Amino acid sequence: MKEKTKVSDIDRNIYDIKDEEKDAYRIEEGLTREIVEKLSKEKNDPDWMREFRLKALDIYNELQVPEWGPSIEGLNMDEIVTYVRPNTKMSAKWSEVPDDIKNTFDRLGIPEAERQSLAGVGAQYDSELVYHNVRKEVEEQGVIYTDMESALKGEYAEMVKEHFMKLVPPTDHKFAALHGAVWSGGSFVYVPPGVSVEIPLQSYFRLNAPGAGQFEHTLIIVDEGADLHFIEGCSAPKYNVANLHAGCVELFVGKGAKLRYSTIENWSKNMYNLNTKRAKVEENGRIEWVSGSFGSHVSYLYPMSVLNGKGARAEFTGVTFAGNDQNLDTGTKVIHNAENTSSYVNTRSISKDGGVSTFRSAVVITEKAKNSKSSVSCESLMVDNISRSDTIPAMDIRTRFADVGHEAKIGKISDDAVFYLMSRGLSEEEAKALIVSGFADNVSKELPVEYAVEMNNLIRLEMKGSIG
Amino acid sequence: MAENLLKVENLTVKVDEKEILHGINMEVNAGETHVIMGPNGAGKSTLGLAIMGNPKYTVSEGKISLDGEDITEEPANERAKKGLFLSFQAPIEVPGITLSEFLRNALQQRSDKRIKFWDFKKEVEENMELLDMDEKYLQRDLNVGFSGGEKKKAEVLQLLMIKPKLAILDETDSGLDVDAVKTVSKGISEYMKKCGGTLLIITHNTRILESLSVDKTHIIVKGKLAAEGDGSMVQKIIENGFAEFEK
Amino acid sequence: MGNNTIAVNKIPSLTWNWLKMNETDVQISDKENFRNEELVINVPEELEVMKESSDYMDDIAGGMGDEFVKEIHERADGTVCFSAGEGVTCEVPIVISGEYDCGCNTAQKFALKTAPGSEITVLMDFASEKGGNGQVMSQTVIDAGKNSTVRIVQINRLGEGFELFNDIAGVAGKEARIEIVHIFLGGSRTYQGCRINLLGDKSFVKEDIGYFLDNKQCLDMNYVVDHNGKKSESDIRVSGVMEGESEKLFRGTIDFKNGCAGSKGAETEEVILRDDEVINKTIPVILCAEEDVEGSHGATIGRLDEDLIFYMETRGFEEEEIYRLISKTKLIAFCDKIPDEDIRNKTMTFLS
Repeated sequence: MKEKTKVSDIDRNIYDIKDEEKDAYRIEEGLTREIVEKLSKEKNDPDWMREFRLKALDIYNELQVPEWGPSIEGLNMDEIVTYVRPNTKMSAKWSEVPDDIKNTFDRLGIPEAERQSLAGVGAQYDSELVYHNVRKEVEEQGVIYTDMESALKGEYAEMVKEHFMKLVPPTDHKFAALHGAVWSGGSFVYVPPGVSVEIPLQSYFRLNAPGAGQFEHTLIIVDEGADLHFIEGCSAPKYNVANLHAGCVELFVGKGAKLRYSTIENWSKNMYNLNTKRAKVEENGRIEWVSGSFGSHVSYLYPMSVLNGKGARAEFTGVTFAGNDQNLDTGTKVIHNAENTSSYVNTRSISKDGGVSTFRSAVVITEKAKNSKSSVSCESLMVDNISRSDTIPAMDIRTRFADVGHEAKIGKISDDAVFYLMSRGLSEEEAKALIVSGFADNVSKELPVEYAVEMNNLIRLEMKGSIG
Repeated sequence: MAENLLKVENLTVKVDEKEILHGINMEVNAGETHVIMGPNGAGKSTLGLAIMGNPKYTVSEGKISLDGEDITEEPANERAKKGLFLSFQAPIEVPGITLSEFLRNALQQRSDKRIKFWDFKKEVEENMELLDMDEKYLQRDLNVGFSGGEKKKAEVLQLLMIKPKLAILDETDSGLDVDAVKTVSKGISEYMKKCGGTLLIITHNTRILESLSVDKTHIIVKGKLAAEGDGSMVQKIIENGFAEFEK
Repeated sequence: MGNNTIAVNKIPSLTWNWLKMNETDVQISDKENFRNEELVINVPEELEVMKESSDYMDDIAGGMGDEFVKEIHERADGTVCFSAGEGVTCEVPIVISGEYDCGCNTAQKFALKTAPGSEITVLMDFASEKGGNGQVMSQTVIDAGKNSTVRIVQINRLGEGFELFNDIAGVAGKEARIEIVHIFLGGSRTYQGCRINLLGDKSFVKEDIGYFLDNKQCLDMNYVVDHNGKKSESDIRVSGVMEGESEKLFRGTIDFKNGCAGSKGAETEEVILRDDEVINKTIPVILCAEEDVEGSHGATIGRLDEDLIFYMETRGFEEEEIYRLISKTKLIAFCDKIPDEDIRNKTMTFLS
């Protein structure tokens, strides 16, 4: 049991620095047709996108908020300003980024992260891409990594149009419709056939302005036989006004292609994180989700895999840590829609200090998915007696040639293990923190080392003061 | 022309893309007793399972024939109906089905005639007495909660009831105490005597062979046939080990 | 003739609506169409039988939900209440045989009260002539007193046109045991609710549920266990076989309430699917607001273990035969739990 980083190394403050608001542009609060049209005009949307936004707005107005999950009553949509743009233009050079923004990123360690073998940084500051840099070698491989706005107008405009919100249509749920109407920013990645991107691409999102929602769109297309690892990391400063994140991630994994999508989310504790992520996987393709949820006040997050081609495979590895005043409803959905498809789900959740964590899943095996396999395993840990941990897994199996296994377990930290570690000189607090990081190792094992370190730091930070 | 009962030609077997057996040849005539020996991990059990047709073991080359008929592509239950039997090294627990029910159904599978209950009862009781098995086991779920020894006895009981043409015994003697080995070996001699059977025995020691006369010994090392000889070879191996074949 | 549409079997924790697992709409025939015949009930001498149960028993929640309770209350002729005095233990089960006629709609309510240290067994056999049709509504409310044992065995071997709406609502006192066996074989549609409140410390509930469905049969279940007492234990085991175009939805919820320290709850489900047209839905939920508990769930759906299949194949069985045999023996094992030889034999016959 080695200690990777000392708890004192991390200071929550670095995540909570807020820049002076210098936003050049803020649209009045509340969401109307006029606002959406104005937004579309400002962004120089192509006509189809303007139409798309307006249609999505109509759907948004028709749909109800979900009645089955955690309460989002604290979220006042009229207060959410949908579009905040920083005082800066897209920049490919670090030196041109304004100083105050730069400072924040510096403190979050973005340039270091880049130096540490990350292929490119598409860091989103408020709603616009601030900083964008793709390493030469990745570009040379023919990989496109750009912001969504540029992609919409550039060489790949047709490809974007063909895929945009086709996997997550605005009719999916109220917040997908909202996203469709007011989306802004995000990344577009295209990996050509057979290209294997050796180093992970990374994108760092960050919310900054009070009352501002964030609606970034991520569209990744991994063509036949190609291979990509994409890392998404989130951190946002604290504000008193309710914040909303309703991003959308659409992943298209081609024949025999492989995509790993890793996320460590650490939104501030007042955020409503209503994010939608979905992947469609073709024949013998493979999607791997690695997901750590630590932040936000309320989360609804269930990355979904649609296994549409023979032999397609999905893996989901997740950890959720719900602390004080957090209600994190997370999990995954898998649709097996072709023969010989397989899915493996492995999740851990931790509840502490009155936090509520819910593991929610759906595994559907259609009659087309003969000889498919699915295995789901979820474990929950209750750290104290004032928290809550629920497990709500659903399965719908419609073919006899299926092999479905499911396991769920819930329990507490073993007193014996705490005693054992204390007998070796650790304090009770340290012992519990260590046990909890060990419990979450299904995810930390899958992350690049610098992310694993950060995640373990977060766990220790959250575990701190859990006694007394 | 007298055909071999079992003929294995150039048998090459893979498990998960890894080749375990590399071109094994073997001929067994009706009524003979053959012994297969070899160090751990040589591929002896793989050979037994491949002959029996375990779907996890892919035959990439070669041919297995029983009574002159190519059975390489046949599923395990068809091989069983044609007269092959495998006594498992680790018999599988079958919850929900009693030993008695299992035996009756297994016999019924091979015969169109209805098996009369009293005939079945008489025969099974005789065999259980021979094997020193408590009749209570008939009403217990097959192999569930059986000790290692009782599991092996249940395998031999099935051998005596099913009466196959050729039985492959995969370490049927391992993990048994001296008395249990005697009992099991008594059961095996009974099978040879009563059914005129043929044996292919995978083993590490001679105790089980005491009341049998071994016609041929095959030594398998690293997935290949390293040597063949008559019955006397068994004793030599027990004394000297496999070192000379491993070079 | 009219029908009332009501929602039943609402799961305690909702999930995505598109899965269509949250609750089920059913149609209950109008009041006028119900005609309640005298049931044949064999009651052991030691027990007291009353025409009404105590009012407080109406407040014990079942699995089918309030709308169902309201409808059955309007249709049934009062409640038959069996009550066992302190320390009374009955060797012989109470046997309630409903041989329902074709076209017959029946509603019946029962209450079981066990005083401290007592023990009763109730066998309820829902049966009819073959091919009959009608609706059978049944509700059983249990108040298991301190250190008492209540066993209920309910069998559905109704004809092909029957719909069964069956609810159980129970409370277990300190160290009380409730054991439930459900065998679902007959009827076109079965709606089963069951909610047990483990109120007392060290109280215990065991539920064994077995089913065999074929053709277009439909089985919709909602089993809930509320752990309130300290060191309370629950064990739910579901085992079934599905053929044809049958449809099954199993909702199973173990709810560890705050304060139930030291409790344990487990649910397991094994389903063998034998046709390609079946619809098999399962939602096993564990809710937890207590640190010191152990909860677990396991499910295996679809195929038998491949090593087991190979072993049986080497003894000459075809895959189809292996599935048939194992399915059959699974159900026979359930029949062994029926505490009455005559009904056990009838159930076995129904199976074959």
